[in-house]
Amino acid sequence: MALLEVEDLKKYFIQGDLVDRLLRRVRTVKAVDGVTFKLGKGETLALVGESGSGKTTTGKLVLRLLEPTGGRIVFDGVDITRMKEGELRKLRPRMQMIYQDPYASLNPRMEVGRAIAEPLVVHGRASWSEARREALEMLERVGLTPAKDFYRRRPIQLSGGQRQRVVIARAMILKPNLLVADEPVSMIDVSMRTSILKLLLDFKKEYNMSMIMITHDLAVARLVAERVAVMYLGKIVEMGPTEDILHNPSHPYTEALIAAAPTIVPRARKPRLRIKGEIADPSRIPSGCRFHPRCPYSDSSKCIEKEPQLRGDSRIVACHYPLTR
Amino acid sequence: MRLSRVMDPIVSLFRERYEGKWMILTGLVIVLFFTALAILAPYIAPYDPTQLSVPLEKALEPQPPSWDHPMGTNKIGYDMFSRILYGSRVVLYVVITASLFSLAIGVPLGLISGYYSGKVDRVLSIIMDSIYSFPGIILAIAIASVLGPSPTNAAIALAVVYVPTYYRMVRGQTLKLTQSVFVEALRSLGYPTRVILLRHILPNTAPVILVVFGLGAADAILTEAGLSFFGLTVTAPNPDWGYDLYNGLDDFRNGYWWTIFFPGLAIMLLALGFALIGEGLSERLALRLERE
Repeated sequence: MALLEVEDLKKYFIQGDLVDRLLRRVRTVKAVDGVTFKLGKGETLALVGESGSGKTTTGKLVLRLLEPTGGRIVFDGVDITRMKEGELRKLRPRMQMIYQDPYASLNPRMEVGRAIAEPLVVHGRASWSEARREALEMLERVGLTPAKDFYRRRPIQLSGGQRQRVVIARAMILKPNLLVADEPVSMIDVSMRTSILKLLLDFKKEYNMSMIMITHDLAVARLVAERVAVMYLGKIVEMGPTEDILHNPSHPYTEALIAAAPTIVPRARKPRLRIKGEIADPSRIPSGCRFHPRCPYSDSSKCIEKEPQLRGDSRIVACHYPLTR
Repeated sequence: MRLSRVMDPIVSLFRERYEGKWMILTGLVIVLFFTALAILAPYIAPYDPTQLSVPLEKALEPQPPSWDHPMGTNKIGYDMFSRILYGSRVVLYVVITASLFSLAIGVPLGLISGYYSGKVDRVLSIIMDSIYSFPGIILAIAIASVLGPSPTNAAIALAVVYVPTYYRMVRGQTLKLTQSVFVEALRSLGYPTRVILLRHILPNTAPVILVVFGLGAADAILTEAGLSFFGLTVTAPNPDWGYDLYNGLDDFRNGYWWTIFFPGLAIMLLALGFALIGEGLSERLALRLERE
């Protein structure tokens, strides 16, 4: 059974104050516009796409850190779409999040050891002295040694990579079933990235944890994820096994993303045309296929008029003219 | 371990180099000086502040400063130096009590308002803004006259005046922190609101609260002097700086400068002390406070 089922998930942000409302200038930003996927136990799904494609919003919706506008989220058989925060709190230890910015995700005034130990105490799983011992083990585990020394440091005394290790330790001390990692290494020094991803993979194996890896970097997706979902303007446009997608993209947008990172799959087919322009304004989503203004293969009728649906089973794509393998 | 948590910031206050260091230290010296005077008043004061301190024939006219009376006497023959000493007790009592009251009310409300936003925030903000829109001294006089003259009543009046200052600063900080990634991360960890507010947001507003405490107390000293000036803090013949200022007004016109000079100087110095602490801390934190 799947650990997480997401069905037609939507998040619309209404932008505009009272004056805008009176002047009817309100904009509806469709950050996530109907996303459906399943995540098995112990599986990793990478959400890839440009910034503005709605990957982070999707990740936060899944954890109910944002209120969904529509759709359904089922976590381990329980529908959490409209669950009250009080009840949700009991589930939260089982689903954790790691943020992109390790400089912003820790309380600047708290010793990092205490920050790691605290979740255990807050959730009544341990006393402070037990939690302290576990936190020290955790510090050791994520490579911050000597643990006793690191325990007493403040975030400001750590590098970005070290802080991210603290954040990981804090999330992992609760032994979650699901981890949403939002670009966990994009702000980390390149030299540290692999070791931090490896660390996540170790924990994943140990806890049989499912993971949603949000990234714009296909190399990261390839390293950690069994499946990839490519997002464009709030929708999944292609989803399937990672190697399959990277070697044989069906959607023109996927092809373009791969072309933009040419070194990772050296023998991948080079696209004949590159996409032009930038991702569209999510408050003014293009008609028909939302990718058509940038698509090198779009025709002048069907692509503009009719929105393509996702088709396929293990390998799905939303395109009127998918690239042939 | 516990002790070091308290002592380390104090030690670092003296050791480290930072903007505003001399301000904080000077301010501390002034405030501690007056606190010492207040505590030791009965031992230092050469005379009873509410008893005749000169022979009756000299009591008809204020006596200028001399070895016996370093700050002279007033027109009833009370020793000004002793009155200043005892007066510092009233001022410090009123101002510290009022500041602690304001803090105890303004900080929790600011935390709640900033964290929950929405309706609670709007209602509280309107109440606080309406208090804030009054000129402080007028509001304090109004409340104090209703309650009647006593140091505690004066403290209550001042507390009401300064609640909005704490509220606004803490609310602003809380609002900013609530939207920060680290607080969202705590929510995702499943922390109850109480823990997030008290253990994580409150300590991060502490520096701001200290700044407001310093600047607020400085302002409160002036307002307190205003209240006493109108006889709303102590009743005759009890000593109080603002009250003595009022009593000395006529003397000043007749050339007896000392009955008004020393109480005025004391008010100014103590207010300066608190203001220096507040400003220094704010500079240390590189904080820009809204000052009206």
